[in-house]
Amino acid sequence: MAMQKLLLAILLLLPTLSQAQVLRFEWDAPTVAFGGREFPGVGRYERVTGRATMALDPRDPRNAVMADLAEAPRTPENLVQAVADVFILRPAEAARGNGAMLLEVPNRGRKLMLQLFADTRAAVAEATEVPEAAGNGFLYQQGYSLVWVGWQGDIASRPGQMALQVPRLPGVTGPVTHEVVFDHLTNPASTTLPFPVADAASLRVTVRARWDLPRETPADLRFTLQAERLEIQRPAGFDAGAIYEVTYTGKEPGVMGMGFAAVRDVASWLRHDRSAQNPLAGRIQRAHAFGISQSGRYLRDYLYLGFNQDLAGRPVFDGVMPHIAGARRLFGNSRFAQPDRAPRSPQDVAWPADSFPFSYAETRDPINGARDSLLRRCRASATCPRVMQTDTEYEYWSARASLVVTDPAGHALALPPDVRAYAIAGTPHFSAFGAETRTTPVCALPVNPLHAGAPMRALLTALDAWTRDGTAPPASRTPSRADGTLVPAVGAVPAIPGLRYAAQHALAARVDASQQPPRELGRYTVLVPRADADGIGIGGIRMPVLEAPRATYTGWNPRAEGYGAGVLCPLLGGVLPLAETRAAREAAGDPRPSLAERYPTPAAYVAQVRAAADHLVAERLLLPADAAAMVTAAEAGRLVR
Amino acid sequence: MNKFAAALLGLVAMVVVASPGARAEVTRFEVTATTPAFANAEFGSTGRYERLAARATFALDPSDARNAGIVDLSLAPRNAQGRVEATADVVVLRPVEPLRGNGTLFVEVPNRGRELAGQLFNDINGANRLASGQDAGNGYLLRQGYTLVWVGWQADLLPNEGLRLQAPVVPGVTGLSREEYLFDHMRNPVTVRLTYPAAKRDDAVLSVRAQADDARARPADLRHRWVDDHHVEIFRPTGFDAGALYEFTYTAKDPVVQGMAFAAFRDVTAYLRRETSAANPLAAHGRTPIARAVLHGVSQSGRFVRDFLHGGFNQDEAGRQVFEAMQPHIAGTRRTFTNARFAQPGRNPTPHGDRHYPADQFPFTYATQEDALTGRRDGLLARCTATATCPRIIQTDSEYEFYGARASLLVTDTRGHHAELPENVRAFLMTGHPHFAAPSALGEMTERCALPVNPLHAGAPMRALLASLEAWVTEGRLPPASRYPTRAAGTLRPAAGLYPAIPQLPYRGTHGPAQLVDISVVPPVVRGEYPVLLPRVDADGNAIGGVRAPALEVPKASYVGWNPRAQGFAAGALCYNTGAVVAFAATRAEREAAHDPRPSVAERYATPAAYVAAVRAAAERLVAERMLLAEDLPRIAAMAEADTLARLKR
Repeated sequence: MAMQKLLLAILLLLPTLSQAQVLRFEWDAPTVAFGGREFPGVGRYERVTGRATMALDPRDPRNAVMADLAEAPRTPENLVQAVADVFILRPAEAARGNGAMLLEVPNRGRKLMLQLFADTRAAVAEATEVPEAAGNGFLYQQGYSLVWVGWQGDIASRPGQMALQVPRLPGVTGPVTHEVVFDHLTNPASTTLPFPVADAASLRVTVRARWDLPRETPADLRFTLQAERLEIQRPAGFDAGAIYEVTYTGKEPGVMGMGFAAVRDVASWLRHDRSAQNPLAGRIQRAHAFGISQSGRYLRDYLYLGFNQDLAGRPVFDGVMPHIAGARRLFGNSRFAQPDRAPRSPQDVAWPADSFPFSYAETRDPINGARDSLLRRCRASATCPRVMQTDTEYEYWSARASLVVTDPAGHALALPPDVRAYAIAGTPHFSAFGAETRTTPVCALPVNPLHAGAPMRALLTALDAWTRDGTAPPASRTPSRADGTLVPAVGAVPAIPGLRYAAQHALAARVDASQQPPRELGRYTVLVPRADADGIGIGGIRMPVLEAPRATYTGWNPRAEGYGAGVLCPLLGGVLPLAETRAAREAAGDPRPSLAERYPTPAAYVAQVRAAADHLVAERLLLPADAAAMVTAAEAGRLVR
Repeated sequence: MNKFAAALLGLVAMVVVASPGARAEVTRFEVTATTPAFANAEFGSTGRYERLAARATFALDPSDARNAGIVDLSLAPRNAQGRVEATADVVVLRPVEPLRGNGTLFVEVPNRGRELAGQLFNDINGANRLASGQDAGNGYLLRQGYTLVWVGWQADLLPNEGLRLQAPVVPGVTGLSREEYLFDHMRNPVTVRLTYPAAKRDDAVLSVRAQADDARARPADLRHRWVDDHHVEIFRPTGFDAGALYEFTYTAKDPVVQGMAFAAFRDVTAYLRRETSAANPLAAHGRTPIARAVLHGVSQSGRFVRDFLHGGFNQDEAGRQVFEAMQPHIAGTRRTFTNARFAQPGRNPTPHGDRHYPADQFPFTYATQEDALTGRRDGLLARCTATATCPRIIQTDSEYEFYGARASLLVTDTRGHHAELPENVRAFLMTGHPHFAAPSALGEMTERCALPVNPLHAGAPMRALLASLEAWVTEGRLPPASRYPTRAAGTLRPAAGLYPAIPQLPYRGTHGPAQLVDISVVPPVVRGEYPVLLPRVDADGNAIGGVRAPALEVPKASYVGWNPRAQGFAAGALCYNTGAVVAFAATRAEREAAHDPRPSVAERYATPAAYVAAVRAAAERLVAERMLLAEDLPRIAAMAEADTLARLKR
């Protein structure tokens, strides 16, 4: 973190090490946030930048789950130390906050929740000193104290990229797999390897057109290594979307699993430490953890590994909200782990993070008979938080989200009463606020621009009420086996010319990753959302833009010819506008009723938007202000982008 | 008890008078016959059954607050103790060796005097065959070890019409009574029966209308003639078809205290499970083998179960909970016209006939809601919640109830927003099923409906759900989550645009409405309407939500919960209590010739074996999800192999 701008540095050594594993917390003097913008009822916000030095006792059983912790270099006190970047946005007047800490686990070092909850534009999402970064002001009007804690040991600490400095294991070597899809045809192309190379002779590079095809080593595929940078001379006959896999013997892995202890210990300290050294001392009555995509997957692992119990045995978070994680977890707690990475092809079943268990309810793995759930460890220690997992439709197609709400054989599964799951129908993985439909050469359909902020604001409000006074949130709302809205992919979407539905989706398997290439041991059943006659998913939270549609919005988008056609584009959804008139759609052979047939007048369209918004408000899935904004946008013809 | 002794007992009518000190308000429980049942067949671990025919007399104190809701009770004649008496017919089927039973009293509310549980759970073709001890069907309820009880509750039935309640007449009371007749034939004239005798004959008004929402007409050639105080002959006018609705209003006398029906179930059940003296035929050695009780009803009697709950009758006069569980079947969101002066408990509000009786008014669902039209707040559980006597409930409906009994109001509020069911309530839709079919039914044409009649029978899923209900109350094991179309799931939609364009499925948006009816005037007036939603269907026209049995999941036809009335039978309205089945074409050529967009059987199933395999997979999934019992798998697979699962007329 940039320490050179410090006006004042406070260095404090905590008096004892009793249970607190934050050894010291250094922070700069608070600075004014959002240019001094006032938020009704709460006032101004302040920015606090700091660094937490933590020290873990490898003999404590609550630390035992971290891979290689016992192998790491130790301090004279026999502890293993790491340093986490911390960033806090807090109400300038402590008494005007709402008592809730909302901690976002950074995604690759970045703060993403402001874009999601506060409609902050991506360009200013890290610039919390300027007024525009407050977006619609939602989080600040609520009075949350917002916290970010760096946790990734495989990225560098620098402005805009929060990290954790973890110890490396000197002298340790082992197998590393690295994957890359260039999505361009520049030749040669280069890639940075995740770990130093221990033995250059061990380097192998293969190529395959699709994840499920055999790995090839054509004679004209060549590579050269310069430090940790590998330059690949690409072979003839492979398009822009081909998958290059690099395997080698790496060295000096870090103790990546300390990334879980970083959030546990910093959050617990901020909650409970009453000294003046704590910038949130006395402010926090309840705490929520939030993570997006990679960091949402982190939270599923955080729960699974039992980190919601702090070293004093207390629950760390009251509410945990993994967003757009699907049924996936993180490659984050093993030797040569790569927490920064996700599989380059979302369909690839061999990624080591995506293994059983998938759900919060206990299920049986039909392949090996194991019974397990993400909440098994916190149940044993009675430290389970209330959980709200929120996914977009994309996760059902590319992150096997069905396995959150079915057993691994695809049977209906009831979630435990302290867990809710919601799917935001028709949305892509993560769209910037203000995005508009665009095209990209990589994908066959125009790119889905829908933003999930409005329902997420309602759900965060419901989570906070659930943990504050026990108000039950809305029932889970996802495509579901029991509702008939989660089905096998073949036939799930009707034949609509131009939509190019081909039943492509991510699969799930049990894989023996100790072999190279990994060996599949068996498949789990993955189901997808059933679409209506317009091709729009039926289950989940259907925003007015879907209930009064002017286009078909999908959570999938096939890769285009020349870009690895045959699988889906990562992270994106598609859009296919409705025809204007009956004549136009009939000429195109489009079975979807045209706009003129659906909405005889502009007022009829607005009325349908309003009715849909009213339902969602009544069902607590949309806040009244967002509903009103949607109706206004519909009247102005701006609801659809 | 050995076989000989049981037979001997059957020859002797036993009369036992309840001990005067008993808490239960049954004053006299008279067993009139005890006979071996089902030819002494053995049912698994339960063994043999015997049948008891009995009459239970109960006496109610009108000043007891727990009886205060019974209309006109305080006006009825009283016995020497100042109580109002009624006598209910009772039938019991119990294990000959009571301790081999499962400890659960399964009380079925008779439907117009008839037992229907055998047709539903034991796959018997017809009513009364189980309760009579003649036909065990597949034996399911008996193998489970239930003690089965039926209690007569309708005072308006004639002596040959099954189990009845003899309730007192309220003396000196007259008032307007309204009858409606739907003949579905063209005979003329027709003699009809009046529920209550006429107090006078000169103010009667007879009207006719072709459709329920038409104005009441009184053409010159529409006449009536009094046969006696209970019968009128109607001379039908020209210009009205077989499905016309005839309404007859007149000044009636001698209303009965029909609301005592609820006390009958409350008190007879409390007595049978808790009275430990020898006066209770279920008691022995100072105890009864009954640990819990389930109240079940089908259609009209399922509506009665909802009424019983709403009336607060699940608390007995000693303050104890009567039923641990309830299972109203195919009631939709309707109740009954029972607890009222000049009640007509047989009235069945449908999309066409019997509308505007006070049997289908707010509240519609279990949780307390606000009535958007009146501002009133109420729910079926409001009273039992106040006394902490709410049972666990599994309500089961067919798809017909969405078209005929506005089932959507079970899972929406009165404005049509999604509403959650309370924790102690589950709801399941038997997707694609008609109201109540016989197990042997096939999809055949009838005279009065435009499409072949939906033949699906709900026995298999109902057995699984009863098993879940039993496990819920005995072990606390949670049943599967509700499986019902909801707005939240996206599976409940407005009628407009509901069906894809399938020429063979001519759905026009017709369904039974939910209306706020003002019955303070005669004829009643509709003061407002609540939104009614319908199940979303797939490209085949089969509904998506609910429990999709293998016949739906691996279909050879579209199965729907509606069936238009045929020409000459009030065409434009829907048939009551039924649905339709429209088979897929056999081949692609056949369907293309008929412009049928639904893939043909040949396109769906490459071989008969492929069809059987798909059925088997669907059934196995339902077993895993506790929607079918494993014991039903071989039968379903055998039906698929014989190609009789689709229940199509060949």
